[in-house]
Amino acid sequence: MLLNQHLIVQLFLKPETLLALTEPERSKVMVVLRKQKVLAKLAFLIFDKTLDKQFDEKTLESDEHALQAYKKTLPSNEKPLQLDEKTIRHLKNALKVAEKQKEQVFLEANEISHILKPVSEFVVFLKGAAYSLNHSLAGQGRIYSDIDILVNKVQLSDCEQTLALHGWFGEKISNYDQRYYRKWAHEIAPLAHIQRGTIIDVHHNIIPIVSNDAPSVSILKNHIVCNKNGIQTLSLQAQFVHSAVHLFRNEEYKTAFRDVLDLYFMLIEIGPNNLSDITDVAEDLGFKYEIGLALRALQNIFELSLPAQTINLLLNKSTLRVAFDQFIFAKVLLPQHRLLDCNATPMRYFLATVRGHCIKMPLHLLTYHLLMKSGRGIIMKIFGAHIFSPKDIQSNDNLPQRK
Amino acid sequence: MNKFIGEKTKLECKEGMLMHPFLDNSGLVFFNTLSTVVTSISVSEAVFKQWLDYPQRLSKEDLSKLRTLIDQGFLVESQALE
Amino acid sequence: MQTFQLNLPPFMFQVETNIPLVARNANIIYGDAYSDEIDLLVYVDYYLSATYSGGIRRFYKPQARFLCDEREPFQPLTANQAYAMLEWGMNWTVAAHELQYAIVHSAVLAKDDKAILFPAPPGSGKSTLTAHLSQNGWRLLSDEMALIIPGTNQVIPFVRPICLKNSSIALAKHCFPESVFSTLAADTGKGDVIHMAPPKAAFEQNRTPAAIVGIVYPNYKADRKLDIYQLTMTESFMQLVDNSFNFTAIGKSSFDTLTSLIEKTKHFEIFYNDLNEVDLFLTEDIINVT
Repeated sequence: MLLNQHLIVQLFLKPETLLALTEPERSKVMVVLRKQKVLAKLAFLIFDKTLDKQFDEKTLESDEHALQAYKKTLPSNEKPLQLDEKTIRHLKNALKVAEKQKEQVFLEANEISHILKPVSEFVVFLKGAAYSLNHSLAGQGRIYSDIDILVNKVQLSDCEQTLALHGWFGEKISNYDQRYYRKWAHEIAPLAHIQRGTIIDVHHNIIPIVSNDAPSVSILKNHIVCNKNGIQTLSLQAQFVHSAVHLFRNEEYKTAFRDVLDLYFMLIEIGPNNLSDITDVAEDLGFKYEIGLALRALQNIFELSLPAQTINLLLNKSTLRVAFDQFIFAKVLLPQHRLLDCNATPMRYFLATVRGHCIKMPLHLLTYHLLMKSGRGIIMKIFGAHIFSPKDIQSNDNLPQRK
Repeated sequence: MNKFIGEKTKLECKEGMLMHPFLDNSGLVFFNTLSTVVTSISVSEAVFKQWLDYPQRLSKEDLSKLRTLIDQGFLVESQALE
Repeated sequence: MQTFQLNLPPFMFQVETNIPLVARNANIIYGDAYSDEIDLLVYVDYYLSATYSGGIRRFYKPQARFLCDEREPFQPLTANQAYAMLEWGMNWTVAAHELQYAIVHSAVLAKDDKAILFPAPPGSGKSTLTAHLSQNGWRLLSDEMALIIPGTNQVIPFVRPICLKNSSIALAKHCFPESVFSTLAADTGKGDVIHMAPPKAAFEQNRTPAAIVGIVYPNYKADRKLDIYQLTMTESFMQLVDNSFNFTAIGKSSFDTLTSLIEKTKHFEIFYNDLNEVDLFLTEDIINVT
């Protein structure tokens, strides 16, 4: 049977669903979840003893008949079933990586905070790193490729220099991309540590400046909190807003499902009854619409019941616009993989990408940016993606002067 | 930690660091699971314990080995009272 | 596009390829472990692919790409190296994901279910030694990866071909004319490369673990018949960690496994040009005395 997106979502709502699958089906699920970067998350849900006693593998017995019966109904007095050895191995491998990364993040966060304290008004950890540092639900079983921090734009150069002194250097990227990052985006290009290889993204706002919607620094500062280890992050509610804004303004949707899972777990932790905490922050930062989209999406995907009135009020744009956005996001946020039976047509992806671009940049700049990117894109299509060695990419920069 | 090794300084293994003395007395190995540094020292466990208790008595060469262990986060000043 | 499955305990790989030499070589190297009839009931651990690069590179100086579950861990190679690329890709896949074993980059050969690890960086001549021993009474558990069960001194087989480079190729073909060899991959980053199929006996015992009794660091030296140096446990441990794939990723469990292993094994560094002498030494001074 072809697995579908709905089943993948069910695994996170009811992890015991995994037991109802055949072994070949589980094998495909492992691959899909690994690609979506959420395998460790499922592993956490399954192996964390505090969450579900039924899943305690020590007390599980194997029973072939029960397996067949289980497929038909979810029994109320669960007969304990056993996961096969290979699935357990894949889950545990993924979880180990996440646990290891988490350990690493604590170490890096302490060091980065320590290094930047003398030169920076604040050093706020964002996104995945922040979830782990605060031991939040969204941070459990989460893997990520880099650490995101937020500093004041005024001190950005100082921070960059101080980090360089401690071994953090920018990776080689084209002059064009460098300029894009500095002028129009909300971050400098990623820095990598010379020995450890860890990558940090230094931001000076939570969304690109160029879109005109970026909140001011003084407003952002209201939402910074300090945990008991002296590490700064945004409040959980502000993290929710930040994550939603990124998801619904992004150009890339490859890990959209992971991001949507983050939002789901954050909402669970904040409490679905405490929506006003979230909406207040959204109002303050100026992102009510994105929060409306997020809550609507969470409601649809994870079968939550949230107050319709609240959500409608947040979705304060024309009916047509709201319908258009929901059309795109309805499918795009679900896990994508060729092993899954995905209902999304390619057209929906294209629309989502263009929409992402439209929101980030004013149109005249968008055209230039797209031309540069797509020029390279066309070359890659003809010559194959690997025609560019790092040396090639640098010398390909015959840039017209920006006015 | 303070780099000064005074008259009364004693050292001990930092909590959370892994250390193993080999049965053939050829040395000890250390593993810092957080920084992922692995290092070794080629003296027996008994001799190493002496190093920790009386760092002031060490030769320059041995002292510098001890300092490396301190720098890599394996050793800290002992909190034990005299 | 062709798809085939490789049953290589403890893993099952499913490979997709549009490069004919990949499937051909996999077939002759792996024999019964290779199947182009896809078994839908079997648990596939990793979905791999070896395919031509797109665009102009499909025809002009064709390139091959390796993907594991749609991730691309390294730069593509020229298409005639595609089979070697798949082999390295399988190594990468296991090394990058499998944290349930302490994995050491070494050959593993056993006699009477007592195993010796041969950790060795490239250029040490390890593979020629592996080829020789595997054809002279030793059981091949692996040419590149020792999968050690944590908390034990047990190593499990992961039977794969022996990767030979440059001058070893002619030597092996001369010494073992009956063996099965892949097509030559010329001019890879490692020079000319060929894969030599493991003996049938290795496949037959591919689920039988062995107890590690010795760790030997081989160094081929044209001017030395056989010089043997015993290593201290500390020295051997540090070298073993250097050759370890996932030591730091696993952490404490690896540390405990390897320190414990070191204390139960003999350790030698050898400089040699005489494979028969090495064989004799390993048998008499390690296997027979344990």
